Order: sequence, then structure tokens, then C-alpha cells
Amino acid sequence: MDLKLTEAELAFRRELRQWLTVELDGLAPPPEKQDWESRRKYDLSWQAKLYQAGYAGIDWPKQVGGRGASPIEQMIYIEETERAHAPYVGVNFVGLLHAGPTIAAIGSQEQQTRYLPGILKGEEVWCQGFSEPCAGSDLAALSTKAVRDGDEYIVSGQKIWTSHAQVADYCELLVRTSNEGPKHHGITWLILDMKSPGIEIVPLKTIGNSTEFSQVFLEEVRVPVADRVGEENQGWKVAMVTFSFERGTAFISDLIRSRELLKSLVTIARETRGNSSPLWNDSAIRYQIGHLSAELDALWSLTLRNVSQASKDRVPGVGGSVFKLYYSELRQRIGDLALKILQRGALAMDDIAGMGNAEHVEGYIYAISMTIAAGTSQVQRNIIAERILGLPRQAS
Amino acid sequence: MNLDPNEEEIALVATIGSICEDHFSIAQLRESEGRLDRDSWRLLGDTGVFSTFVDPAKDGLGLGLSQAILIFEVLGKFLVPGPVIASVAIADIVGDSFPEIAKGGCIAGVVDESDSPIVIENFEDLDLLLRVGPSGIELIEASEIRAIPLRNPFDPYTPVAACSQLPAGRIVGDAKDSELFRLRFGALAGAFLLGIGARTVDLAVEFAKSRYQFSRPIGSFQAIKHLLADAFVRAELSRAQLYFAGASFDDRATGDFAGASFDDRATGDFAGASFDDRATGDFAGASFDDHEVVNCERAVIGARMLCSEAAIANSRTCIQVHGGMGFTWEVDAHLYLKRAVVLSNSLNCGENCLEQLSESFYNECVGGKGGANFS
Repeated sequence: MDLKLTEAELAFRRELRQWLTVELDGLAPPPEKQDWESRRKYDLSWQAKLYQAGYAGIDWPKQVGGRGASPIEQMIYIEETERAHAPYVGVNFVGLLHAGPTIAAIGSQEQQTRYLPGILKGEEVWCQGFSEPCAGSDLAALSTKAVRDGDEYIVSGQKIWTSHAQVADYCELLVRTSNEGPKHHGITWLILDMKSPGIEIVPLKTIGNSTEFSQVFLEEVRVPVADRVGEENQGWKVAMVTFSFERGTAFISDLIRSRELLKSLVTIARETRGNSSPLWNDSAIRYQIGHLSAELDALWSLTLRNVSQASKDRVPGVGGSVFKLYYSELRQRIGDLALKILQRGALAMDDIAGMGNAEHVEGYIYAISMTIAAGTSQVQRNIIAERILGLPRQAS
Repeated sequence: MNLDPNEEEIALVATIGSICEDHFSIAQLRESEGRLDRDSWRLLGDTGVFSTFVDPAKDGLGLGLSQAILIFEVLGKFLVPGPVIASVAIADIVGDSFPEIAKGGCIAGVVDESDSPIVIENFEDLDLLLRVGPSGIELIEASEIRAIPLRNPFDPYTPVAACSQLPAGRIVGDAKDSELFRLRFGALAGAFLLGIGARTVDLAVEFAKSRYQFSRPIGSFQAIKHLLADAFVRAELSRAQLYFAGASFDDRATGDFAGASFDDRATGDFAGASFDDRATGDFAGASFDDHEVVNCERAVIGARMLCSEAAIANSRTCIQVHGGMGFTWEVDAHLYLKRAVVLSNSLNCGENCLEQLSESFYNECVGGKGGANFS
């Protein structure tokens, strides 16, 4: 066991860090959070810069224009961009992390030539049409219907939790093409042009007052058969390829930011008085922070372990579920502690007199989504129990 | 970078495992009635367990902390009795005066100078007792100690004796030795606890697959699955942090800074530094690069705390999953819980750890010693 990085990995870190220093100097501040058009422009222009410098599609295979980085290099990439406070992947998330890698793995030569450069160069935005009102944890129960009509599919149904739908050019769409056999047979993976007639986008406001998510209503939308990725009725397997790109790197930025959040809580606890002395003098507060900091250390170690395993084996591990389950609940505990430390400062998502409360209040609300999104904690526990511990599946 | 055992380490674990299977099974532990067997102790010595850190030139194994952690994780799975951790942690420090400790011919226990009340584990089988304090390590002949064996030890296989006052001993180590001893003890207690935390998940899973109620294996119920998934996650998280702590200590001890960021490599030259320099020197490893300076002491304290929490919670889960039988003496689950409690209560633990962790994190926030190097 060792923590040593190779010379190549160190060189990669060094070059990236130098590039970031130059590139971030003078970069315009990010636009307003709910101004999606401006955010699209901002995120795409950052992606274009990454592309010019050779950092686009860091983990994508070289043959499709990516950098072919190992999970360790990918980890270094995320670590460096996060520490430098570079723009987040933002609206490019689905393109770079889901749709692009899927098309790179399964798509035809024509599809790769048509769609991948737009993602890498920061020209086109993708969104995801997987979940439906009646297909959440049980995604395979999806019912958005696609009927073949010559060279086209006619698609009708409803998608939900679609991030950035209002500014997306394309959507990776799962549809039902057959009702025969088990439910995860009969699903097909399509590329949907968001400019097609028959699409209605209705923003879905979250409890955090954000309009990132939308509901997407599809009414007899025509999709060319040429935009099908993989075989008809094989969409579940195609979608699983996307999920298997999880290489233990999914939450690295988030984890680094959590540590910054906890540090900020220390500052607030030093400056906020409870009764007559600073809250930091209260051992109950101090011990909770000490404990949380050790847990964050351990999650970082778990990340290193998952990433080094993925680099070695090139097989997606199950470590992702272990991490996600613990991390999401830890984030909620950090949020709980934050509200306790903020006291009256918890009553607004605006900063009060330089207290630094806003990010913590926002973080508290955001953390509530973390045990639900990307596989609820309950589903994660089932996955761990059945796939890692080998416990029998529940009788249906 | 690699945080899993390599081939050599896997072989080492297999060797220790097969010795434990043959000589330290739980059945044999139950037969021992809490007394240590001198031949078995000698066998551990012959295997090299106590000479893990001893220089190969002095017939030791000369292994790093990472390897020692793997060895002790196995010992934890088997609940190997006696002061195994104290013995390996002290063996090379007092090697010249007490070479028999490394060979397994002499049994040394340990107490913390600040312990109150003074409770000595395995008292009746000890030859020597170490008293560890911030200024150094003292060694006391067990024959000079007056202590009263207690009839009902919490862990039936860790007999204890109460002592009102210890006689003065002979100083065998200074403050630096004491610091090293504590760090090793913390890491290896963590490893032993990790063994318990992982083993109790295995036992509970095995039981949940074979025990039928309502005509189904109880492991098919989500209520049981979720208990076991949480237990597994606790064990894996503590494992990751403990392995990280071991690897960061070994990388530091060998002066190998390939994991450091280029800034630190350019300015830091720790190769050949004394333990003192290394112990206080900031070292940026793979962790958060120079955002977070890897502080081995902090990593060990956190790891041991999480291993301890996992071991206790997981043995409790193991008892719960076994239902009524889990509350009986004949099912082994309680033995793991009891040993976990013993190990969670020796040398630097509890609130003291939380104080150290919060202080260390505070320092990282204000950029002080052992803290972050804000660029």
C-alpha cells in the first residue's frame, strides 16, 4: 500500500495547475444562479477553453477525441480544478459524463462523428430524459412510448427531473418500444433533438427555490431511427453502460467543497457568541466538528481507494454505493450542525452582515436532496446488501 | 497509488490467517478461560508478529505500519488474546535491553499514565508492564506490582486487575519513543478493531442467509438488509482511513515524497530526517494535495476512532441479527463486542481524540502548524 503518484501523474498535475492559474486570472464571475441562458453561455465558453487546452473529455477514450486519462488522473483533474475554483462542469454535465461516454461506447461511427465533437468543444448541451413520474427508483418501469413509423419513432410521454432542459440541444432519452417480457426488456435509448415539435418544458421548482429541474412533456415527437443508440429494445443495457462509467470520481468536487463548508463553520463558531463566549468554546460543538472532520478525511481515503482500484482493475467497482450512502447522510449532518451554529443566521439564504450564513442555509436544503437523487439511500442499501453482501433478493 | 494489499501483503495475511486458524480459533479461546498460553505466545513470536518493526539485521521482519495493520486486522478477526499490540509496539524500542519481547518469551502489558482507575489487563500473565506518558515510557516488573484480580471482567478473555498505585519503574523510552509507541498502538488497535468490525458483518450475513422465519431467510427482509449494509459501510469507511493512515506513515518514514505536490517536493527534503523532524514536519501527500497537509497522527486518531465505532456498532448489529440467540453466551457475537469495548478504552481514546481532531482541524482552518498551506 502506498500513496505515491507516478512521475506522469505529477507532471499532469503540474501542467494543469499552471494552465489554470493563467486561465482563471481575469475570468468573468459566474452569472446569476437562475439565469439559465447566461449560465449556458458561461459553462460552454469554459468548456471551449478546456477543449483548446486539451483538457476536454478527460476520461473519454482517445479515439473519440478524449484524453484517455486514468481514474487517478481524472481525480487529479477534479482536485485541481476545484482547488483553483474553476467553473463547475455545469450544463455540460450530462454531455460529458453520461450521454457522451455512452455514444463513445455504443454509438455508431456516424453518431460519434455527429455528436461527440459538439460536447467536447462546448457547442452543444445535453440533458437527460430517464426518470418519469411513475418510474423513479424503479426506472425500468418507464412508460414513455415510442412507436415505429417508417424511418422514425413517434414518442409520447412525460419525463421528470430533467436538469437544464430549458437550455439543452439534445436529450438522452429512454423510451418503451415493447411491452413484452420483463420490464427492462423493451426499452430503447434515443437521441432527442430538443428543437423537435411536440416538446413542452415545464420548470419544476425545488424546495431550494431552484428551477434547475424541469418536467418534459412529449406529444407525438418524431425521432429518426438513425438517432437510436444501440439496438431496439436493448436500451436498458445501453443505459447501464452509462452508469458503469462511475469510477469513484463522481463526488470529488462535492467532497472538497464539503470540507470548505466545515472550515467555514469553524470560522463562524469562533466569531458567533452563544450566551457569553464564542460557540467554539462549547465542547459539544467542537467535538461534533472534530468528528465530522475525521469522517471527511475517511471519505477522502475511501475515494483514493476506489479510484486506485478503478485505475488498476478498469472494472467499475461497487465502492460508489458505499461512498454515496455515507457521504449523503454526512452532508445532512453537516447541515444540521450548521443550523445549530448559525442560530438566527439560519433564517435567510442571504448573507447577513458578512456572517457567511447563506451557503450553509443553501447547503442544508441542498443536502436534503442528496439521499434521494442518484439512487435513494434505501436503494443504495439494497444494492450493497444484495450485490456486495450477497443477501437474497426480496420475494416479489 | 494503491490502498489495497499487494501480492506480498496478501501472502502475509494468508500466513497469519492460517496460523490463527490452527492455534487461535474462538473455540481455543473459550477453552483458555482467559489465561495466556506461553507456548502460543512463543509461537506468535516465532512467526514474527512481535518483531514486525524490528530491524532485519536484528532478526526482525522490518515491516512498515501498513503491513502491521494487515497482520493485526487478522488477529482481530480471531480475537487473539493478550497484550499483542503493546508487545509489537514496544519490541524494537527496548529491543537491546529486552530482546525476549520480540521473540515472544516475555509478555509486556501497558497502562496509560493518566488512567483512572488503574486497571491492568492480563495482569496475572504479565512479566512486564509499560507505563506510557507524554514524557516517556517506564517499565515496571510485574512481580513488583500489587493488584487485585477482578472476578468479573467485562471481556471474559481479557482478565483485569485493579491497582491503587503503581511502583516507580525504569525509564526505557523518551517523549519521542512515547509518541511513536502511541501512534503505533492507535493504528494497531484500529486494525484489531477493523478485524472485529469486518468479521461481525461476515458472521451476521452468514446467519441472515441461513436463518429462516416466515418461511424466508431473514436476510431477504429489507429491515435486516439495511442494518447489514450500514454495518458494511462503517467497516469499509474505517478500513479506508486506516489503510490511508498506514500508507501515509510509511511514505513519510521512508522519506518517499513521490505523492507530494510539486511545490512541496521542490522545497521539502525530508529524506534522512530524524523521527523528530518527520513527526513535526508538514507533509503534503496525495490527500487534497497541499490543501490538506497529511498529518499522520491525525489520520491515525481519526482512523482508530472510526474503527472503534464500527467495531462496537457492528458487533451490536451482529447480536441484533442473531436475535435471542445473539444474547446467549454460546453465540460468539458478544465476545467481539466485549473485546471491542476493551480496545476502545485503552491509550488515548474517547473525548481526548475528539479534542485532538477538532484542534487539528481548527489549525488547518487558520493555517497554523499541521494545517493547510493556503496558496
